[in-house]
Amino acid sequence: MKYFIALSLFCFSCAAFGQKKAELTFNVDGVCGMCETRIEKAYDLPGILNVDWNLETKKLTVAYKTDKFSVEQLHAVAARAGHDTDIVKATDQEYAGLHGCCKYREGASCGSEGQDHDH
Amino acid sequence: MKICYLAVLIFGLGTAAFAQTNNLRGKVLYESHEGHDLEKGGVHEPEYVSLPGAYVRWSSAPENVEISDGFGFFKIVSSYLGDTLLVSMVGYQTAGLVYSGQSYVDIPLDSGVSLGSAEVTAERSATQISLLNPLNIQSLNRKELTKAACCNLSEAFETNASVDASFTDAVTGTRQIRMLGLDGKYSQIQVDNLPGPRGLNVLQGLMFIPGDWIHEIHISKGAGTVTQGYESMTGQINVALKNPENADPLHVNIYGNAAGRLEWNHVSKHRISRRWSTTLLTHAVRNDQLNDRNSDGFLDGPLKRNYIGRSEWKFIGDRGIRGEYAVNWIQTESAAGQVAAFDQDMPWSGVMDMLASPSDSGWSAVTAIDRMEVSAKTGFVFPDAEWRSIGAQFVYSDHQHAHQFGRQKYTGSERFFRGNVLYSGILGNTNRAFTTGVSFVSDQFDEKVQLDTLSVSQQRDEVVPGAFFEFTLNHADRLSVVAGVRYDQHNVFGGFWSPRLHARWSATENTSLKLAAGRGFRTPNPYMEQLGSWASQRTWNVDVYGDFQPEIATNAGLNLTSKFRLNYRDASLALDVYNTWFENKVVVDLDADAQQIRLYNLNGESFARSAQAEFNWDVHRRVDLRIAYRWVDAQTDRASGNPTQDPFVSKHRSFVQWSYASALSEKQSQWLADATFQWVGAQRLPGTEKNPELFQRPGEAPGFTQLNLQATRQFSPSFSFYAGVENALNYKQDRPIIGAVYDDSPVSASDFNQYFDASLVYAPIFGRMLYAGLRWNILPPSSN
Repeated sequence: MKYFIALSLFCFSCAAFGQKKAELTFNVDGVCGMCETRIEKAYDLPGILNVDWNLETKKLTVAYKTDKFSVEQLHAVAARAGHDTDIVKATDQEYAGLHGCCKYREGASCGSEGQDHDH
Repeated sequence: MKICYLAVLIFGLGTAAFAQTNNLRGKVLYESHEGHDLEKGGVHEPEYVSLPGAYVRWSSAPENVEISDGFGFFKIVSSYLGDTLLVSMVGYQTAGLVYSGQSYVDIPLDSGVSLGSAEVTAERSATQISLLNPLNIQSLNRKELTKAACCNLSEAFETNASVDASFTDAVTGTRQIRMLGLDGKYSQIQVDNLPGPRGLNVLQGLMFIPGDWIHEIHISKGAGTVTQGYESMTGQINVALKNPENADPLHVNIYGNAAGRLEWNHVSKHRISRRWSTTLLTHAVRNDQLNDRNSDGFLDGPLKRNYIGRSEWKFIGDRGIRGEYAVNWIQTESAAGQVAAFDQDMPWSGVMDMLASPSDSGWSAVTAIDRMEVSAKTGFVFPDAEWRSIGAQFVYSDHQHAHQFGRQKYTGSERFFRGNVLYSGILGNTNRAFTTGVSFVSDQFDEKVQLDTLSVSQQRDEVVPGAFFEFTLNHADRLSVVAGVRYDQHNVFGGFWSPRLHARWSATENTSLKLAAGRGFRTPNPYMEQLGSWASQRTWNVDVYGDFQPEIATNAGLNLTSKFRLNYRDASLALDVYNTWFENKVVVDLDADAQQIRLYNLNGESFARSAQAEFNWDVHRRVDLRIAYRWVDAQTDRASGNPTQDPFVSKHRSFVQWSYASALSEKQSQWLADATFQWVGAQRLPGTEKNPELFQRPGEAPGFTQLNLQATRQFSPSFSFYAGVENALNYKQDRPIIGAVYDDSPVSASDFNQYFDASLVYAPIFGRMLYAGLRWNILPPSSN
């Protein structure tokens, strides 16, 4: 029982721990579930708390530690993975790395597959 | 049964043969990769989703376009051989089919997404609670099931707060489960929505469902739906086995542990034709190792030879017909008892000979079970009205059980049949749906008990026709209600009403409140429900058979589930309160006399109250946490002066589970680790105070802690290796067997014959146990 309490306290305390955190939402271009996977995986970085890209609204919501990332850096993460944002565009080389069905600049469109259904 | 099967076959063939030569008919569909969580009433939603509105045309005459109808069907005038049929739809890749004179074609369209080399991460948490379903259903998927090397269903609940798993006694090797503080027999366990472990199979049946066969487990607290019978009181557990739609082409699992258990599991899938597919599932367990770690002269677990096989056939017709047909064979043999009764070199046939003639050199317990099950489910969805469907479910099982525990012998046979026909439709619009139907149960028991002094034989034939109606109301997504009632006419006990109500109210988008209330009844089979008590010198006081009554209980409960964010990451909290009252119960009284097991109908009160809190949090990208606590107060009035608190029920139980998953590498290799720390509070034990001091045990078992650890190395999605340790803190129950020799105090043969009791087990006996295993899959070809 003692361990139990100690463990529980531990996890709440890390939540309370001091660094500044913020959440940011911006547009990221993409067309399908595969894009979603690629975008979200790109944000699997230390200092990123949570990330979610919505296929329908094309909005990326990212929670991050403000001392690790600036807003521009956050945009750049998506661009480096080949996906344009409002303020940072992917280079042609980065864009060329995308799978055929994800070429959003050419208007590729994908099926409904890969959308996250919440049950 | 056979007739029904044939009828479906003929019907299926009939639709295939029914085709006109000058038209090409077909269906446009795509394969959905979404798992469907709830199969309501047994009529499945197709995983092959039909595509209405697709364009169909010949490349030779692209201007003549046909459009697939509401069910994806189309009809187009035939063209010349070698022409190409083009099928297109927005969002899907256009398919071209070279015409070779067929009269019917299925055209699956690939959605534009290519999963060829892509990272497939349908990221789902391992345990899911729906906020929208009015029933309080918790779903455990494969990810959850692989967190512990669960060998069979009885071991699958170790990381679940809703279901308690007891510890195996040294003799039967069975784990009882408990829901809401009551024995597993008061929950209805189903396999693919058909009756699962029940009747004489109620305890051991959990061992006949291998963990690697399981696709998902759905745990529903509260009485549940009326469509599946009257037997559920505390909850329904539906085990969805891997089937032709969700199984990998091949899955193999090999497991071994330090206690000498070797296990083989395999699931394979074969596609027979466009409409038929099949899965074959096999399972084998062998344990030849004589373990006696605590040196009490008794084996710590049974020797085993279990062989289980299942063949399932699935039919998906073109016009809304679906069918699932399965055969299950089970053959198990096990032996336990005093080490002296066995000889390390003894052939297995020699061990099983003890079933007929018990060993002279020591106490032995030998069990043999042969069981066969056949089931057939056929469903039909009306092509013009997706919401209307008819389903028929038939199941037959033949169960033969024989055991010889010491000098006590039992043989039991049960022949069970259930037919269930369901019709679903709507009243006005799809927010008001109903399911109604009739059922028929026939259950024939033949039990023979040979104790030292008496020989009893009991036959019982139950015939129970019934009818049910269930209404589902959805109101503005905020409120939904499932209200049902069923009436069953029992040939022995007369008519019985079971009303059930489930309601869900969403206070906000992320918080829902659920209410459950319902009544159920069941016929007890005490000899098999108290299987563990056979491992003792207790004599059976079976007066209850003079006045045989069904067990009746009412259950009501509330659940509050809230999903929220904590430190920007998903978290959820679920709070439950449930109460079960018995109108009648067959009371198992182990307290009246330490040498007897007394059974009588309830005289007074019996109830079980439980409360539970479960907190889940994705702490970090790679770390999940679960903290759960549950409280139970279960009381039963026993014969004068005996304690009312139910034995073997811990009032408090809690656990913390940490799960870690490393990032997927390029090759999709990954490390996974899980640690579960469990605390089980004090439990009352049946009184032994009238025994001589050597054969007494404390009236209350101390609380104890248990730590399970497991690490999995996934080399690729198709191959992984795992190793772990159960009970890492090495907690062992003190002197678990009354009458065994501990601390060199000799036990005379006459004392043993009077006081021996191996059924008072509340904690692990074996101590720390290491295990390892591997899983190998052939994955389905990717859709590109």
